[in-house]
Amino acid sequence: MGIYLTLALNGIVNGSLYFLMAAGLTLIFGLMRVVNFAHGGLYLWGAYLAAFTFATTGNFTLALAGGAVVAIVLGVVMERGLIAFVYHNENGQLLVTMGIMLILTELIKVPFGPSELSANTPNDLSNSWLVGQVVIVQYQLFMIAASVIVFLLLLWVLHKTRLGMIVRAGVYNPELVEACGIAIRRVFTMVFAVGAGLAGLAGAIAGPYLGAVTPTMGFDMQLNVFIIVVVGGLGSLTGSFVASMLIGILTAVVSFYFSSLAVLVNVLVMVVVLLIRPQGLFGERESPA
Amino acid sequence: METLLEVTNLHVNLAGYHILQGVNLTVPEHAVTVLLGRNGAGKTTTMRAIMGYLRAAAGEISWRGQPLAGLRPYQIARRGIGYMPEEGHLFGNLTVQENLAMVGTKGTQHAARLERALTLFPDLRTAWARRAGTLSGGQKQMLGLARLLVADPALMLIDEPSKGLSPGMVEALAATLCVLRETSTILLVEQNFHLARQVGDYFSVIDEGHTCLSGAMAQLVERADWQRQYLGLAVTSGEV
Repeated sequence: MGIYLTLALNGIVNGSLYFLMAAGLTLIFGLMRVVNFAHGGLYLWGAYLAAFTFATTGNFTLALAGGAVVAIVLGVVMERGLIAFVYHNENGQLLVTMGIMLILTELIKVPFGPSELSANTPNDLSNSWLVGQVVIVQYQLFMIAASVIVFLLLLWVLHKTRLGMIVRAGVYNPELVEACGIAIRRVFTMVFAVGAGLAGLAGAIAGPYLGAVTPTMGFDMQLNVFIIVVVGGLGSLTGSFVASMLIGILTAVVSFYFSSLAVLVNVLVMVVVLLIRPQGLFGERESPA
Repeated sequence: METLLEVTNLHVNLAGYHILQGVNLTVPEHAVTVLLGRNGAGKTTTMRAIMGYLRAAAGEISWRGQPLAGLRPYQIARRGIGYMPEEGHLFGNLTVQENLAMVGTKGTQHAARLERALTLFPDLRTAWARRAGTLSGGQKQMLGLARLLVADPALMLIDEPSKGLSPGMVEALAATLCVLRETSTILLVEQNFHLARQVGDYFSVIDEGHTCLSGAMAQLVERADWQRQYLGLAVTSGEV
């Protein structure tokens, strides 16, 4: 029984990390329909900067903020400098963001080298408890809490604030938003920045969980996160949250029994969901204007 | 009567085609000007160029004597031009209430304008929390017009609001536009001449991308030969 509970807990923790990254991609890919294959690069840079900041200052809050801020800066430069020119060109987005992903992955090696960089857990979050047969680590609880807080905060902003209403309107009909006197491009840049910041935050939180950060961690994470956004339903935060937990638990279980099949099973889940429900678990068919 | 909007020798290229080849248009304040013409003549393109969605290849669009060239659509909207496009004139994923809140939510004037819109379109009050995408065709047009009413721009650009509506709904729309004309300046694109003549004070006909006729609507109503020649209407006994 203990093993199942441990796998479930690990799955939820995996899912929490997936969601932190998927939340940003839900905004960028799910809502704005930008196929952002550079999202993993933002996660990577957030992870490295946070690990470096924590190693040099010992301040974990500063490390988290640093990880998010570097991703926001990279995200805004990326959006203003390149992606703004391919908003209506999916092939262009794919090529541009894949190129940026490769550049970000190679560039990280310049200051930090090609080897892994250890990422320590702050002492305040290093406790652990044995509950029944399950070991609960304090940092795991921190990750779960962070993902729940991000989920609730984003839901509130999107559905209870004027900014959220403008974002939803802009995704549906950006021209009409402009006709209402609103600078939709600025709004999109802001949404992109928030999505990028969440990727950086996810990377910052992932480092201590994984124990080290590596140049390939962005690529490793990216496929699962795209699967989550598609399975959850494009643009649905609730869908992303549920799909993150589903894929997280599935990954934990499959990795335990057949470690080499984890990615394949996740892809199969996506295929099955799309066959049964093409709009994803919580996605909606677009209503006519 | 002050001229709000003036379009002079406007040329617009679209996807390699020379769509507008010299459109001239004057929109006086406190009147309804109707842009007429056959399908594909360039009426919607003219509207989109005025709103800044399309760049002019030549010519000038001026608003209260100031050129609009180089401004983004949101900047043009902030100068006082409201736009209800022919298609996509609402946010189908937002509720009726949210659609109306898109043009602002603050101030006593806003509340008064909202109340006026809901008095004019009582159906919207009952559909308040419904998603706009689920409304009927007529209700969607009402919502588009209500959004303009709440925004209260100095000039309303309304692109073919009667399209797809039943004859009964077109009559209701005409009555609504007649109410709007009492307080608003409107540039209306309309193919339905029966509706255009009911609400229009002035007209301008676009044919093959250029303005071929302009004047007072009363003149056009009198001239069956113009209606036949420029609008392709079959006219009997002066009634259209």
